[in-house]
Amino acid sequence: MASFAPVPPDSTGGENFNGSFLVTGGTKKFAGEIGSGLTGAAISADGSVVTFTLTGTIGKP
Amino acid sequence: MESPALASHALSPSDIGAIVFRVAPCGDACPRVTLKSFSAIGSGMPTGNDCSGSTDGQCSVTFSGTVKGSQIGKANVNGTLSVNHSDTARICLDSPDCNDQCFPASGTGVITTKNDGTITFGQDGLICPRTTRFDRR
Repeated sequence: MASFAPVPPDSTGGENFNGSFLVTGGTKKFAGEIGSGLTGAAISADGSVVTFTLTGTIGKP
Repeated sequence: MESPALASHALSPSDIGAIVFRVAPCGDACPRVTLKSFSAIGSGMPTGNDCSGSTDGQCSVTFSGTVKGSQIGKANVNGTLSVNHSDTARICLDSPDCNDQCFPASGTGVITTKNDGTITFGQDGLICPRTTRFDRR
């Protein structure tokens, strides 16, 4: 059975991070924020540039 | 024998009403959760290892950049993703060849606003090839 270490992601060719983001806290104006979540977020890398897109909601108790 | 002090605090119908009032719902005093929509978009640079050359199945990627977001304006963002690229963790998109593969990744990040306020978050998802497959070595 062939065995090899899967190639780790790198910036060659670009890759996407797709997942969920969860707000876990903050300071100052956002000190009361709770983990209501940022969902549908993505981080993509193309060469040496990383782009950020975060969408969702933040909450304050 | 009952003491005068206890006797003066004997329960009456009005006392019972007062007790009930104290355990009643707090109404306007109750904590409320206010949710606001939030979005941010920006770009940055990897600040360290991009996982190239990692051979032990685990690697960590850091990134840093600026974002412009609702409620916060322009802000800085920093984050770390720990990637599990072990043989057992990978997800093959073109099984059984497995030239295209995704890896579980999770980590934390911090958005720092111009007033030095922060929003901290956790992130959990998959890193996958975008337009071309990962180079196979």
